[in-house]
Amino acid sequence: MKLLSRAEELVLLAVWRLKGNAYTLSILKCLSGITGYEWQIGAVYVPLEKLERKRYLRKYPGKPTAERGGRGKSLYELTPLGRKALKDIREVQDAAWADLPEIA
Amino acid sequence: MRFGYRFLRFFFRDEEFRERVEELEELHAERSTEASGRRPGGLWMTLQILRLALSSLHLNAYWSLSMIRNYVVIARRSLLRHKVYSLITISSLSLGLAGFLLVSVWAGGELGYDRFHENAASIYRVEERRLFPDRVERGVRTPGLLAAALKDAFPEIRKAARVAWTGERVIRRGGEVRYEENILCVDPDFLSLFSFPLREGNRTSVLGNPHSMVVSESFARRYFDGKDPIGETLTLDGKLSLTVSGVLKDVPAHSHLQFDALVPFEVVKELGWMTDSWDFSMALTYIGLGENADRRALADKIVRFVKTRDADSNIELDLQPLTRIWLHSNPDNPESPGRIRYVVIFFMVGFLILLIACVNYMNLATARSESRAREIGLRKVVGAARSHIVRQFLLEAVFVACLAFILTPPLIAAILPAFNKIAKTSLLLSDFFNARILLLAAATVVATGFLSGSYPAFYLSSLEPERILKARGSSAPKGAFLRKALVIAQVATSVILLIASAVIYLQMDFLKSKDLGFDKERVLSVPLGISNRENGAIYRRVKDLLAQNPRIARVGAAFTHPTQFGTPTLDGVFYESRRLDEETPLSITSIEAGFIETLGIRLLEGRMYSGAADAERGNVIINESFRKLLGVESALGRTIRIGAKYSGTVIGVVGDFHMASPSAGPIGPLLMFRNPQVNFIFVRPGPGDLPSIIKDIEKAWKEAAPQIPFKFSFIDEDFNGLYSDLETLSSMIRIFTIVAAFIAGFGLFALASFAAERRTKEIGIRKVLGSTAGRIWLMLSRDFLRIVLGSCLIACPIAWIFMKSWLKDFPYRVALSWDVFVLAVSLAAAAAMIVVSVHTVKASRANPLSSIRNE
Repeated sequence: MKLLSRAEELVLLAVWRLKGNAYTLSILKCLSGITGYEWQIGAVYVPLEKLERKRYLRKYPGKPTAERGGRGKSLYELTPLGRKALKDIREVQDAAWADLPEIA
Repeated sequence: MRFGYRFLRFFFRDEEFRERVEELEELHAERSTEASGRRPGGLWMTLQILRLALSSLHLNAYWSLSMIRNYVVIARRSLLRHKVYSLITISSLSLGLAGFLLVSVWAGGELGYDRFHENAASIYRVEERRLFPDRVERGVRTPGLLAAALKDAFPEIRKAARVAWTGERVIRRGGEVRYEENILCVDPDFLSLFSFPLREGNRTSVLGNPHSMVVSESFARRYFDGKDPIGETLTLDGKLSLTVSGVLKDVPAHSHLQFDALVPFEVVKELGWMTDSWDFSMALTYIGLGENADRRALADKIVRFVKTRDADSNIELDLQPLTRIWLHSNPDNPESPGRIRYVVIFFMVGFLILLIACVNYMNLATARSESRAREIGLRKVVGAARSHIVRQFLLEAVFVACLAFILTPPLIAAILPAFNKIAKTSLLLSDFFNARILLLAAATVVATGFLSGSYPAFYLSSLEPERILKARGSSAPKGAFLRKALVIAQVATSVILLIASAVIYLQMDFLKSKDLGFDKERVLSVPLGISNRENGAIYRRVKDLLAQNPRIARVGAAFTHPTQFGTPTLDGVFYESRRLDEETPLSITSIEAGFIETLGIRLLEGRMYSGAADAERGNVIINESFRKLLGVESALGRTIRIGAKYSGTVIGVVGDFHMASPSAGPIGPLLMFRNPQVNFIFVRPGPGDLPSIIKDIEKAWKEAAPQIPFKFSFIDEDFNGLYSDLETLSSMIRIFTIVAAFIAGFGLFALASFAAERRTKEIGIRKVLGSTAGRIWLMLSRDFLRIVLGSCLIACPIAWIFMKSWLKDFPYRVALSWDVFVLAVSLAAAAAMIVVSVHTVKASRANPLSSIRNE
């Protein structure tokens, strides 16, 4: 598998976690929650777009809302490729951490 | 905030932009309603916007980098697939780049002459204009009294220094005797005015003592062989002893003043020159202005300066900036534009050659479009926009230019020795590795890539995908017209250069073989070096010794060498009531008996010198032009007065002979009187083995003048040496012609191969239907012949205009005749046919079966 950057990993994870409500702002908030510091909106776009162009994420229009003038927000979901990548990441992480005592 | 959004507009496409702004607003609104109470303000918004812009840049760079990698991979593959084409484009581009960079470095050096002096911008040379009733003569030399007087009169002139060449001198140290020709006599201000790097000694005082001398490092090495030269003594011309008081680093190459040693200006007086006259222009005068001096105002003030000192003077003064001297002043011919013309010409030629190389790339890239067409079609089908294709081919061209650049340094290294010899420069390959040149090289490479890639990029990107993919590649040869025009331009440039080099060569040959008015073959000139009373005696001893040698035909002597006979007069020259030297420039010199006979100058009437010198003190010999000036049928017995004291009777008239380079102008009136004081001995050997005769002369010399080194030159070579600038021009043009012809030849070669390839099937069918190999060859060659002849049609008139105006500067010039043009055209056509034939012959002889079956 191709290794992803840390930011890309986190974004992928956030999309998975948000399940159907993954759009830029919710991802932003989710990331801020996980890492504990404020992410800037511009910083989210870079991994998001790279993941999309690498076919790990798919972008699809959400339901039209009044606040967006009748258009929907762009939502993201994992593609099978993305799902596999996430699984791989998990496995690599687990394998790497296996048999290690907790870090004090 | 409007402004911020408008700023973002540059970074995102419509859809993206709308989304980004909406999301940003939403975030902003959310933040504002949060309970924290810290409402994000303008600063926050600005930061977010900048971060958004950054993200766009980041992504763009990321994606285009991965695309560039793809482009390079494809470019590499297509280069490898067509090895011959690639070799041709790359080698012509590297030739073009090498030529252009070489010329740029050379031109940069020429433009940078004399700029190493700290105060280069405030140093001027004072030059003179002599006003005569009917003409103005410009000169770089000025009277010896000028420098000091100027410095006294104008406070803004801080420094003033005179400079005079001593000419060839004999330097003796112990038993060692050598000729030195680059000794300058200078005023003490010289070293503080200019910044020639002084290694030992004090800049302001080192030349203070009238017997001091400052030598260059290489001069010191010649005489002192590693010892400390300070305090050592040398003898100049056997009578003046000078003590070395300072050592200079060798004079930088880019200095118009070149010298090996400096001596105080007073030495000039000892050599017998007149330094305290307002009428005799003998020294170069350089002045340094103070910081806030107004050059224009000063120039206005000094115009008539000499007249205020000497009411009779006809001299006006002029200021020439130091940094313009090398390029814009021409001491031999002040009216001509100077070296700058050649710098411009060569820079243009170098640039043209680079363009020709670019044309090769353009032609080959578009000619091969069919092999790339499918790739382009596919790219377009899967979604490449036209701009992507354009970018791809521009990048490919830059990539090829970079490859070509890799070959450039070895090419330059290979050309450099020959170039240095021709251009009389001492460039090293390491001179090319400095920031300025590398930057220029990088810019040139990128520009070359863009230029040569531009046409292929726009041409190839315009191909329509369906047509390409459906029609299986045999689309009509679009762009053939432009391609032809480019080839024509290429060939025309080469033909122009060819004609130019031929004409320059012919002109040089014409000047060299011009009848100078005397027999210049097999005459030796031996300098006496010391201009003192001994010379006459030495000459007589040498002459007596050589007279006993049956292998020597004649011996004569004169005050100056025939290449410098044209010494202008100082005093008035009068005939009856006329003042001749005001009517036209006159030359006066002195000779010894035997000079005219030795050089083989024709005697028109009267007699030559014979008998005792004392008896002929009042006899003068004039040339034909002088007689014409007098306006008499026979000049014999006429009296000519020179100055107040001397008057002479004409005893002979000789035919006109050249006294300087024939390129300097027609022969002027000359008056010769007899003087036992001579500086050059001329020997004409009889028939026989020259080297052994020269040995005889040397033996006689050693006996007659053991204190003077024996040195000789042949007069015809001395005259040919006057054309060294022309020789440089000729050789340089020739090199560029060869390079241009090579590049154009490469281009034709590749195009022929392409044409033959493209018409393989047609040729096969033609042959099956009964055409012969000869007809096929003719058919294929005809196109190229037409191109070459078309180029010549354009090239000839342009070359004619150029060369006509170039020749105009020469008083004696070859006629620009049609045979040069015919020769150049036939040469170009023949060369093109040979280059093209490699392919046309092969194509016409191919077995038609193989090409037709190949379906």
